[in-house]
Amino acid sequence: RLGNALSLSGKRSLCSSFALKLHTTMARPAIVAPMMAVLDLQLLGREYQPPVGDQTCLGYLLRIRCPTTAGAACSRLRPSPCGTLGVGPRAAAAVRLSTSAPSRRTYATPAHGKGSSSEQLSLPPSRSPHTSAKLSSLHARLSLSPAFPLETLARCLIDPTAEPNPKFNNSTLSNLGNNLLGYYITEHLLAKYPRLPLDVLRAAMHAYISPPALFQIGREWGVEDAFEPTLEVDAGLLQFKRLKPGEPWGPEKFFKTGDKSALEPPAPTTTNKNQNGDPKSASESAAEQEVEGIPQSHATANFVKSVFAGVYLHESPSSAHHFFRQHITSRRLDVSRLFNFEQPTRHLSRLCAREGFEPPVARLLSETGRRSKTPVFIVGAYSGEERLGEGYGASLDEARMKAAVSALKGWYLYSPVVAGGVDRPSRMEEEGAWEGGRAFTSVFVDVGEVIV
Amino acid sequence: MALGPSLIRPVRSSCIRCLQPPLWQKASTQSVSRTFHQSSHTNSSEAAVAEEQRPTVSYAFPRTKVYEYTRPQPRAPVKHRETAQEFKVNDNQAVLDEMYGKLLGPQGVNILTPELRWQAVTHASFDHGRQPYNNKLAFLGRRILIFHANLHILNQTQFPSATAQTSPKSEPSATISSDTATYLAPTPFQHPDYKNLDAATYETVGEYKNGDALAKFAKAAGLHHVMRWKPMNPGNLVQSGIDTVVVDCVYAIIGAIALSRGGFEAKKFVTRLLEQRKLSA
Repeated sequence: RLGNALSLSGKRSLCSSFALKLHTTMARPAIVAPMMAVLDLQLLGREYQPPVGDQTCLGYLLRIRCPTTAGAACSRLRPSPCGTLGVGPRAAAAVRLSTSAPSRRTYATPAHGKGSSSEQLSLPPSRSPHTSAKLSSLHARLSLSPAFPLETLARCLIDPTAEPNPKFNNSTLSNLGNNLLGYYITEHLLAKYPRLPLDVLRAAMHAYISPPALFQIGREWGVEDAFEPTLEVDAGLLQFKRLKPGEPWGPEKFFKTGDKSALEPPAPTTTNKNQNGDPKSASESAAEQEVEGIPQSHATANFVKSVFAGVYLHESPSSAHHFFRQHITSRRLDVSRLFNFEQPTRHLSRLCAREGFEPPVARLLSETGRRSKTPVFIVGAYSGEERLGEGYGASLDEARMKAAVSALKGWYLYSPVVAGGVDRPSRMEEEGAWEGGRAFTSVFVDVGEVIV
Repeated sequence: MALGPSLIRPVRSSCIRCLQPPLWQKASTQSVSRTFHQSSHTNSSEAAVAEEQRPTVSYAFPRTKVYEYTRPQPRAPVKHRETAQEFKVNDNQAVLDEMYGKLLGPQGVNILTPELRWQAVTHASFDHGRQPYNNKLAFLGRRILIFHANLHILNQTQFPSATAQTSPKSEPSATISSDTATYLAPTPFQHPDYKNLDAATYETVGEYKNGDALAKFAKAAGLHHVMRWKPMNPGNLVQSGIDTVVVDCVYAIIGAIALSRGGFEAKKFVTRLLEQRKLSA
């Protein structure tokens, strides 16, 4: 509030106490705090939910196939139930907000043209794979063979958090896919880099098949997720229960709460009997029904693993390995960046001692600017007359360390070159390995990392 | 690294130890059998014949004492600290082969080369990792075991626990309903390729990861006395983790077979393990 400026906008002349100065400034109107309306949908539990389900036809009409008629495709039009807005208590506010939208019932054509009065029930959209265009396009995009049914692909998209019944969700498929991927990637890395230290091997496996990596692959495949796993969502969407914003999960939850069960996968709750074998009481059922969510990355990773399992089951083991090569090992990983040596010079020295080489020696190969602000030294690590590795650095010690690291990487990143390609153990389990295929050529077995 | 002879100016290292007489002075007088870039390890069958004539494996150059260079006299006339007990391990090829015969069957002794046979039963703690040890073989072998356990359950014709757990309390209802509509209840999709997929859950496959049955199997073959390792406390082997090490050796044998003979041979051994487990369970 400036001086006597009481009312609204306009120029005001203001006189300061120093009479010689005359300020003319634009006086802005006094800012009154606006009356804030707290909307119902801003409260916790009532956040705005985007409408779930198919956004293509806006839910006016649903073209479905009769599950009962065999052979001929009988598609009839049926009005979708009450639009495609979200269902469930959390979305009740969204429903209330939408009452101003034009009522959709007026556009629905009466579909019971045959004259039958009883409404024929159909499968829920989230469990009817043949009605989903997204699912078919995903199947085609992945170039899956016709032997891989759409129903399996639909099952791969359903996470256990969305559907507790293991016959409908992807828990067993993703378990098989996980074991399959682990086996394939381990044998691939051991065949390609036999001398990798175990820590680096684990890091490389993590880089290829960990949940974040599989999440990227799933995203590249164009898998979209349903906001909420209700019955009306499209069968081609990834269905999983989301975590609440900020809710910890997995290792983070273990660190925050000390709850060890967060580190293990969730136990299946499909029975209606508790541990003693008695039927569950209402309180026990209610407690168990509170299903924990899963991060989107892990749900997508589970889907990717399930697809690998599906390929293995429906196509063949060799086809599964081909799929693995196309999607996993085609990705580039710079294994040399995964190393972390603590005392590289000592490590190299012990390596040379174990292998019977001459003890390693660092020799300055060239240098420039020793007394300047930016010196460069190039040091070579020698074993006798043979140079094992080279390193550059701004100081002699740095260059010496880098030379030792380079020598060690030269040892550990040895990759055998075999005529016809390095063989893999899983090839012998595939069909056609014995009839016309070549005999197994043994893979180089390393003696182990140097223990410093 | 030590200061070595060099015609170019030597690097002055900041480490004082470099000024000590080099520990491998004696070693450098021996002829260096191979240079860095030659392959130092072959698993071919031609080498196996030559290997079989050697009684024991000596991979690194032989070291009789821990240190070549020792102090000329002890500091104190009387030792007032307990010396570490030396833990004796097997170094007899015949004993090793007998164990492999019990584990893999009479035809199974020569599946692995003698070098691999030793490597698979050598733990990293033995001789501070100077001899070939089995950690990566065990890593691969464990993966193979879990994978084949999964396939084993998958291919079983009947798995009793599968159907009992997943049946609801009453017959499945014909319809399910959401808040807005009622639908036909979906039925699980069946396909011959699925086989016994519903029984192959994380828990049922995880039962095969349990090391107790494997340790028992190994004990029957006598692996406990054949493997080469160094316990933390020779007086109490269980506390030192003998069961963990033994299970690692079993995994390593699986991995060694897989890498040298292929997945099919490894599968035969793993199936034998899984069958034994079923009998003991």
